[in-house]
Amino acid sequence: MEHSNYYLYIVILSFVATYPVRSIPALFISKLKLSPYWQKVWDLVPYTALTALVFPGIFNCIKEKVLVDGIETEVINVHAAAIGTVVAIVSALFKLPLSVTVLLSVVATYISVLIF
Amino acid sequence: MNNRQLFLLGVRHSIPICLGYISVGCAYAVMAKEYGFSAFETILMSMICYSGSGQFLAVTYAQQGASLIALVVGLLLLNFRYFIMSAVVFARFKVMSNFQRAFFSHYITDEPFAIFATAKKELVSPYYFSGLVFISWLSWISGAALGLVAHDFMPPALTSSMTIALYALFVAIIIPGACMSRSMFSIICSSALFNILMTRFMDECWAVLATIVVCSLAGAFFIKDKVSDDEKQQIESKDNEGGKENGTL
Repeated sequence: MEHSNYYLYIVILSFVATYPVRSIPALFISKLKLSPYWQKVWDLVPYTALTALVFPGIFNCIKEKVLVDGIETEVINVHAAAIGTVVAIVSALFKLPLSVTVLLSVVATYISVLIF
Repeated sequence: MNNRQLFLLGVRHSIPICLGYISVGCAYAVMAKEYGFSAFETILMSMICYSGSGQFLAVTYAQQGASLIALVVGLLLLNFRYFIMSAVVFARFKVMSNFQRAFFSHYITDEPFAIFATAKKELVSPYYFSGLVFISWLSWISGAALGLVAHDFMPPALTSSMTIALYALFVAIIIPGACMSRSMFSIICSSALFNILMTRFMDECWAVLATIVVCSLAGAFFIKDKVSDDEKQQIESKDNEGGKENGTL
């Protein structure tokens, strides 16, 4: 019983440590007046944040389980990830719709995983 | 556009998010199950925590039998970017009740933020936002449910390839931003280099925060043209007020 309660506490705390972080700024941001400089900072955040989330993470995201000396080990397939990245960039440059870009990138990565 | 059309457009824009969420949500559920979470707890965490990286952290900590305080500290640190994202998203809603803000803020994650924060000004509406976030949220939960029941039938090469979906989504949002102007292009390239450099010295979640803060603060000095539709309007209204804040520029 003790054991299963621990898991439930984890679940509840994962909410307790997440929700306030999201709701506090939502409630108070409207009361702040942003100067033109801070408005520019605010407009840049989506781009800097997303760039930071993509690079270098995108190169390490394809993990495969392989047997090394009989032990299951996780290896990163950088080649497949790089091909998926290039396909996504090219597709975005051609202004294809978001879902098409995502699909093309997944398909390219999948083919590369099968090849490499 | 009427409210119904806005809602449906939000639903349509959530499709690329769903592709990624179903696969990552699936991977999370498999891991949670493996580490001893019951089906109920696995799904409940997807519903109330609703944070990809946060849930993977929580599940890993649980497996290690970590203390609950360590879990809370780790999660707060990891989630701190939501603090900035939520501030950016809700700054776009000029008129909204506190109840709605409290309600909608639960659905702030990286991906809806990416789409909503860069969306055109005429899409800033609670209807568009709810179409976008509710479907994403449902797909995240469906992904977890799928992971619990059907993971054995999915080829591993495909599930691992699908993890690139969310990154590809971000790339598809960054590239048009980089094409907007020379300064935007430089800011985005420097953010990428800065973050790659930072991950060599610190934990990934610290590096992301450092990149957001440093590159946005520094980049704003180099931006002369407008970044979004909002900004121009904001500056115009500020000019009319003739407020003191203009001194900061």
